Amino acid sequence: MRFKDRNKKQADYKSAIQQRWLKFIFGLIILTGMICFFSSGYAPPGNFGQVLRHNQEYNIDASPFFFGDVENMSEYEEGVKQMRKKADEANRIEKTNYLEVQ
Amino acid sequence: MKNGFNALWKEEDWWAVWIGFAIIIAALMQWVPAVPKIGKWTDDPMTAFQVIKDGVVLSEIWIPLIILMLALATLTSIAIAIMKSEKLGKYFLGFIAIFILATVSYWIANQMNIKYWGLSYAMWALLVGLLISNTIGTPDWLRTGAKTELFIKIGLVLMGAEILFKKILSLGIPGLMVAWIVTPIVVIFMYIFAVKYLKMKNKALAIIIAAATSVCGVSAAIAAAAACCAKKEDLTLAVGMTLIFTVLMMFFMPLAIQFVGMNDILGAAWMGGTIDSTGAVVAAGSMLGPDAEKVAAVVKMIQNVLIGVMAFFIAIYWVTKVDCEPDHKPNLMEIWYRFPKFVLGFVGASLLFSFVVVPAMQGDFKIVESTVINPITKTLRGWFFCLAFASIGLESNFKDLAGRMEGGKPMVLYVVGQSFNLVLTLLVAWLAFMVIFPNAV
Repeated sequence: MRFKDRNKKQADYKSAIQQRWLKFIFGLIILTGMICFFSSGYAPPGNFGQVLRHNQEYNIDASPFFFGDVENMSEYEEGVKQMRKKADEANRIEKTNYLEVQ
Repeated sequence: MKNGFNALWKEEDWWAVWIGFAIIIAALMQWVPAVPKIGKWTDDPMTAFQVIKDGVVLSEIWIPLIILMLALATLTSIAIAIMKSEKLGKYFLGFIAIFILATVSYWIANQMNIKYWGLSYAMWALLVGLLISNTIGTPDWLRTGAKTELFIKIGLVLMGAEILFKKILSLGIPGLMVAWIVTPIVVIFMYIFAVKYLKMKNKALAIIIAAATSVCGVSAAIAAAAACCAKKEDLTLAVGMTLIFTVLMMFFMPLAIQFVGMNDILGAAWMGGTIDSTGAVVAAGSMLGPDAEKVAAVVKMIQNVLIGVMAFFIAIYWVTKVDCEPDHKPNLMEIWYRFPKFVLGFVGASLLFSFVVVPAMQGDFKIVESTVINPITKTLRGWFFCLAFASIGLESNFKDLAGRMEGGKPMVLYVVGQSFNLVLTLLVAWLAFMVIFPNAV
């Protein structure tokens, strides 16, 4: 009887391990499928894929989650600085013209 | 309670500060070479492990990667050995395995087509870890190397070096209005909504989701989770939600803005204030034109600077109001003992770079960026976060995650909070850029 129990326990243990590895292989297939899908360069048709196609065309990395990881952040900062300068200049000219008209 | 001077070498928080600052000082002194990072690749996966300049392969990064792995294992082992929290040999072995998983995650995330989707290494590291823990199970020796909190806290101290207070004025008062007025209101609204109306029992999850939604997605979630000592599963849930919604918002917000014919700058400020991750903000902003792209990115950057302030206040609130006995008012010493000290390292690094390092370089941030931040602290911060996410995956299981969903309340919180964020940000951006300062940019 004890011998039978031991055999049963061993068989259960083996099948549990097999099940775990089967789950792992199944999970690995799903993960590989996801990687293949996202790395294939596929973009959904229509409006839904518009941003993705734009990213592909202009090589825009949309993955950084922190501003420090965005490669050209300093260029954006510099660009905004220039935009503000131009806007200030335009405001100043407009103000001068207004005062002259007055 | 570990107190007195003992805490300085017995607590993980202090070790995060020591290791973080040791790296920062070594980087400032130019004692460390550039840290290797996995490169971007499109068709040939092996190019990720090569240094390529102008189409010419200069070198391979296998040996620097192995040196990095051993260096990080040794550096963190010092903390583990002195804290006596794990057996050193077991930790070393576990760390090496986790480093390999982190490398694989980085390698997947750096495929260019995957980058276009906005899927970061955080997601892949989590998935790789979850795959192991939920199928074959995480073996003990691997679990020993998963020092999630230590990795996150070191990463956050290093992140402090990138956050310069000067940056908050990059877009003048309108930018400040969008990023700094709306954000705290949304955090407070979401937290009150979660606790009072949704009756969420898990307050840590509520504040992590609130921080991720209103500040800057994954990085804010990491900082908030560490500040309130949240469970790893809470961070996994919040990060999962923010990653999914970020991609959806990146796809739909520019289309909606174009559809209604909204002003580009207003649309850019709106997206900068609401889309969780900076990469997705840049991508969505770029759809509206080059000027909008710049404004969106800078609004997001100003908002990102709030991360240290937010972590500080969450830590104070948690110590004094949440993580204490009811009707007991903790005194200053008690607050100090329980306060997560890594936050001091995080804020300290930010202050050091804002008011000492950059001014010492005649205010030229580009020099600091190219010699200290980009080649060393930023790359190491990325490695520590990637190690942390792989560790979180290895320690989480789907049953626990499902148990934390409280009947979908976190999802309701995210949707309601993000909707509130969208409305309030649009209103404030309209006031700031169209009504009060119509010619700001």
